[in-house]
Amino acid sequence: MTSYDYLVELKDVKKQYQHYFTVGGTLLDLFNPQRVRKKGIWALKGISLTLKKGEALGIIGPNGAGKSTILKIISRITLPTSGEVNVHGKTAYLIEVGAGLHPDLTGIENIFLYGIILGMKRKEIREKLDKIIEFSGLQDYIDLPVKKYSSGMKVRLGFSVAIHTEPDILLVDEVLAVGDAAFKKKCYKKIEELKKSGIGIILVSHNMKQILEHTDRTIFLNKGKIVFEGRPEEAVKRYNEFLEKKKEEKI
Amino acid sequence: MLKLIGNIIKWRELIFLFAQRDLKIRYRQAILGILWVWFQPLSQMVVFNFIFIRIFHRSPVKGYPFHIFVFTGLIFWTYFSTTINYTIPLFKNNVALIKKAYFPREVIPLGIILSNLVNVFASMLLVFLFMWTAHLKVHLTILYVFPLLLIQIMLMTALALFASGLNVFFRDIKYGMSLLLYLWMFMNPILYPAEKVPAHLKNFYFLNPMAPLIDGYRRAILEGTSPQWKYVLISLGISYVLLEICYGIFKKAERIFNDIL
Repeated sequence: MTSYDYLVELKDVKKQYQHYFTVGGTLLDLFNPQRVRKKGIWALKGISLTLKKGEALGIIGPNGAGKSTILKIISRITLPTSGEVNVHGKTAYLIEVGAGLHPDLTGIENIFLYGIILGMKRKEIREKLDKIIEFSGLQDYIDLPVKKYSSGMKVRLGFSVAIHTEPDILLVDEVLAVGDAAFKKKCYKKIEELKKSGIGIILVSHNMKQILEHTDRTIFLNKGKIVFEGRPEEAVKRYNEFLEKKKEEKI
Repeated sequence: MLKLIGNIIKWRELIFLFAQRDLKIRYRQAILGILWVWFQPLSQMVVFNFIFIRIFHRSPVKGYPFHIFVFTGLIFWTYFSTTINYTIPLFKNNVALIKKAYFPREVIPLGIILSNLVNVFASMLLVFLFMWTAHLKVHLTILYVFPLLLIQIMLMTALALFASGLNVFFRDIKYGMSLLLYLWMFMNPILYPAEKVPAHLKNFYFLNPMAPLIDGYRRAILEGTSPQWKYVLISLGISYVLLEICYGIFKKAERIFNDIL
C-alpha cells in the first residue's frame, strides 16, 4: 500500500454555484437570455488545506462561508470549479438529521441502504449489524419504519452506520447538534477513539465548545476564504471577535 | 458503455437494494400488491378486445384469440413505458440520498428498471394461464424472449437516463415524454400484427427499435417461431447508439446535479 502524507489535500479550490438552471425550470429557459447571463455565486474562492492521519480539523464561520461546500467537495458529492482535490481513502459524510434515510423503510432496511451507499458490502453489514444496532441504542425500534423515529433517533442511526463503515476520513457537519447528551458523549468518545486509530476527521460546527475540545487545528472561514488557520483557541477567539464586530456594525 | 457495465458490476448490490426498496415500498402500502401489476395490461386488454371484437366484429389475428395477442404485446410495452415514466422524477425524489454520498447516479434508474422487470415475469404467469385456457402450446422458442428483453433494457436504460437526467433541469420533460410514449405505442404491433404493415413501409416501420421486439416476443411466446432477426439486429444497433449518446449526456449532467437539486 502506498502511504500518503495527507489524507486530504485541497489546492486553491474554487467553487462557483451555477445559476443557469434551477429546479423546476422549463425548456423555455434555454431561450431566456436573462437567465443565462446571471452569474453564479462563488462559494469558495481559493481554498488550500490538508488533513493528516489521526488529525481532527475544525471548520468554523458564519452561515454561507462555504463550510459545507468544502465537505461536499471532499466527499465528491459536488465537483470544484477549479483547483486540485486529492483524497486518499474512504470518506463518510454525516449531514443533517435523517437525510438519506428512507421514511417508509424500517431501521434495519435503512442500515443496509445507507451502509451500501457509503461503500460497504452487504455481507459486511450483516456481520456488523448487531454492533451497529447496539451502538445506536435503538434495539426496540429497529423494526419500525423510520418515519416514526424522532430526529434524535435518526441521528443515532445515521451516525452508527457511518462510523461502522470504517472510513479513513470522517466528515461531520453539524450533525451532533441534535441527540441527547448521553448519545453525544458516546459519539465524541467514539470520535476520539477513531482519531487514535489513525483516521482523519473534519468537524464543522457552530458549537465552539465542541471545536475547542475535539479539534487539533481549526480553520475560520468567511465568504469562501480562509481568514485564519491554526490553534482552535485562536480561531475561536478571532471568530468571536468577528461576530462582536458584526453585532456592533448592526447597532 | 464499458464504463456503464463497470459501474453496474461494481455497484450491483446498490442496484439490487434500490430495486428491492422500490418493490417493498410499492407493495407494502398497496394492499392489492401484485394485482395492480396485472390490472394495468388487463384493463387495456379488455378495452381493446371490446373495440375489435364487439365493435369491429373481427380479430386482426388468425390462429389464436385476440385478447392473448394484445395482452402479450401489452405487458412488454407496459414495462417499457411505465418504467420510463416512473424514472423521470427519480432524482428529485431521492435528493436526500444524492446529497449524502457519491455513487454513480445511474444506479437509481437501473434499480427501477430491475424492479419493474419483476412485473414482467409476474404478468407472464397470466400469459401462460391464457395460453392454457386456449389450448396453446409453449414452445422452446420462448427462450428468444431473453435476448429480446436485453435489447429492450438497453433501450430503456438509454431513455430513462436521458429523461431522468434532463428532468433535473427541465421539469417539462415529463409532459413531452408521456406524449411521446403514448403516440409511440401505436407505432408498435400491439393492437395489430406486424404483417398488416404494407410491404413498402416495412423497412421504415421497423426502424422503431421497439417494433421488432414486440413482434419477436409474440412470435417466440405464442407462435413458436423465431423473431425477424434482421430487424432485431437493427434494433440492437439503434439501441446501442442511443445508449452511448444518452449515457454520455447523463454523465455530463450528473456533474452538476447536486448544485441544482
